Amino acid sequence: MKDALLMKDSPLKLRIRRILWAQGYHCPLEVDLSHYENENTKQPLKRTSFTDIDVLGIRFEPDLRSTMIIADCKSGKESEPNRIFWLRGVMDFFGAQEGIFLKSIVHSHARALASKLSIRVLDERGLDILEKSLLLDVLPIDVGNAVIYTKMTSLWGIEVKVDQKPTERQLILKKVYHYLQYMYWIVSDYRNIQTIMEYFSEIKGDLASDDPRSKYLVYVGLQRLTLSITRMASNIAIRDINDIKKQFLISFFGGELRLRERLQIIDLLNELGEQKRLNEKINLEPPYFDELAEIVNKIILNSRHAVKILQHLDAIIIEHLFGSKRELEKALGLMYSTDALVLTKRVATMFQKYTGLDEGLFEDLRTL
Amino acid sequence: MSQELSKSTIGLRAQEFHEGLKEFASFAPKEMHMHATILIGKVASLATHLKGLNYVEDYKALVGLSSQLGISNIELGPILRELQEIDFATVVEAGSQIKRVDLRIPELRNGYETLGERWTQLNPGEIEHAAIKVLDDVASFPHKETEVKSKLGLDDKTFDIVLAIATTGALVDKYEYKSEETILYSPLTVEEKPDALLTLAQKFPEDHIVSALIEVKSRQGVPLELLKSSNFDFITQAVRLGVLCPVQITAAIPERTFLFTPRGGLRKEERVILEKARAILACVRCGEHYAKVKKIIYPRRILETLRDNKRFRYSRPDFPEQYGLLVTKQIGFIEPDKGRPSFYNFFLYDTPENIRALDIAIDLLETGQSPISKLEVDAREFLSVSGSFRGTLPSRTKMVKGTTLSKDMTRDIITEISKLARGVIR
Repeated sequence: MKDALLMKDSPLKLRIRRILWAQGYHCPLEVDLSHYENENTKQPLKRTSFTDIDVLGIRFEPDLRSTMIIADCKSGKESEPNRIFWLRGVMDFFGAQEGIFLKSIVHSHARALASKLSIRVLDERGLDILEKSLLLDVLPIDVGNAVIYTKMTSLWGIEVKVDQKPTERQLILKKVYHYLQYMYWIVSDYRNIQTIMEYFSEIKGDLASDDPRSKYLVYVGLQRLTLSITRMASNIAIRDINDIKKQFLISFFGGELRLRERLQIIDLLNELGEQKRLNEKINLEPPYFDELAEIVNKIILNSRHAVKILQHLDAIIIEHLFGSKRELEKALGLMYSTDALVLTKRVATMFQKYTGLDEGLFEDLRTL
Repeated sequence: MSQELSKSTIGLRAQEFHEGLKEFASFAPKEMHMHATILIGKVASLATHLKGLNYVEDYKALVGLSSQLGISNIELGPILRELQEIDFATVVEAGSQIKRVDLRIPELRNGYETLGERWTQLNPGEIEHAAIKVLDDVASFPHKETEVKSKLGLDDKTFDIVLAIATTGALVDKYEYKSEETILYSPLTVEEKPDALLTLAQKFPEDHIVSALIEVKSRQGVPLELLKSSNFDFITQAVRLGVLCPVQITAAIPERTFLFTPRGGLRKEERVILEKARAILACVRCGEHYAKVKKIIYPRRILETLRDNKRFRYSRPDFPEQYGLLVTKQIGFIEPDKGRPSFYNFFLYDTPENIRALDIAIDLLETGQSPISKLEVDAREFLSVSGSFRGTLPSRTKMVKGTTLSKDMTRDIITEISKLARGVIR
């Protein structure tokens, strides 16, 4: 049922995705909002899906301020006011500054309501006008390509045959898909960075460089990681751009109070280790901490290029994982920046090196 | 022996060996005994000059810069491989051509630690260990030659080779103190001769002097009255004898003195840049410690703003007192703020020498020292931020130095070469 609906709304979604992308937005796929509750203390947390977000757009300004936009695309007969009120709620929940309500035909009462709630309304004709004014027909890269979108969707998730049960390793992989699709969007960035690194080092042996499904998962992981790192850099730039090193330490552990608590825990663990004569000292900082700090520093100092990293990554996925492997300069046209590409590669190198992923998974990126 | 030294110290000393010996391409003891040290020194030297860049696209420009750092075109390949090995760079190739060098040289953490670690992995020989140790020892304080030798536990021949290498590179020098004892000292940390240090050592314990030098090095430009490890009597004597280098800001009320560690072995034009760098840092320290309103909290950011914007962002009433020294040294000028009576703006004279002095001031602030090659070569002459070639190679008068080889050493080298000529496989 959900697939059928997806199919029905897909053209609108892809069109708005293209419109947003042309204006500098990164539009991640597979964004679902869920709620987790503990019904039974003996069972793990149970996920209840609230809703999926049709199109989420995130854009960083050259000084690293960020804007978030949420688009809701409907082609059926749902109540327009209901959807508009829903969209306003989701925008508030996500902290999105802007919202777009898209429907093939929109009634005038819905337009009046949307404008009161600061939501932009677009119908098919409005989309046509917008596409023309943004010169989308000369956009060098097709981010709204339905064939590529279908391929991406088909590669997302574990593959289990109808008459079989998922293996133990597949269930672990499923956890990672689950995290990237649902949990990621409700978890703080500092936790997301650490969790993504942890999860991918857990599944490194399950991912093969010649398997398109593995490659796609790794690249989505890289996209999410990059998004969280850029957001962290953005927060540091807002707090105190003069002392990046100190601010990074504080941000990485979720604030000064949490940092102090974590230091105390590590001290106690080390004391315990000494008593048990383990001869191993636990460090608070994970092995990738120093390199991540350098990356955040680079993002802040090269912000006008760094804000393009996510779009470069989108282009790499579209062109090199699913497309004709055109040169990135050609695929991105005027949007291309060598600095952004080098920074993208630096994040990927850290991701690969410290999770122990097979180097071949990033072969396409390495040669760029 | 190198276990006593930190990895960071080893990395830094290796760079000093390379930079000291780079003019001597055919100096046999260097080629025979200092392979790991010179290799790491070259890597460190190149990394120092590429730090801050994201990538280099123009390989020719990189070759040009490297040649000024004592790295030949043929050597650049292995040096880049080492940079890749320690994860400071990735060479992106298109076919057989180098398309781009992506850089990841640390800016927040100390990159010398990684270089020192790599030096250890390269299994340096006994002479390399001893050379690094000797340099580090005598750079902290001059020592009697006999003491150094016995501490290292080397035979005469090996010790002679170590000294020949270090003295040829102008890293260690000998001094006959009162015609009684041969003293080894490092021109890197002593300006002119070590008499001043030795005279001071007669009045104050050696460890007292060493700890004062370490404190000043860790806080270059520290105000005289804020030096924690020493009393006033010691500091005034150290300044009077030239063991510590003072910069005075006379326009400030009261007059203030800021202290720096000495640095010898420089040519005239290099000394001019270093003195400018010290003056700049002293003025910033003045604002950090003595400004009546809005003290400087982030000295590095202030220096970077001046370097990048060629002026300070806001006008202040106390610029004439705080930065008057820089006006007299022709580093910048002060103008009244037309919109705010009694407030002044400070502007930098945008010359390559002043920009380099600002870079050195940042190095002094952050690490307490600046590699000699930073005084000699400006990477900006070769690489624009986007990595393209810019301008012609700066010509530089080479210092005419002679190699220091005893008769015995010359004989040994010739014997070794003749073995190779005969076809001996080693």
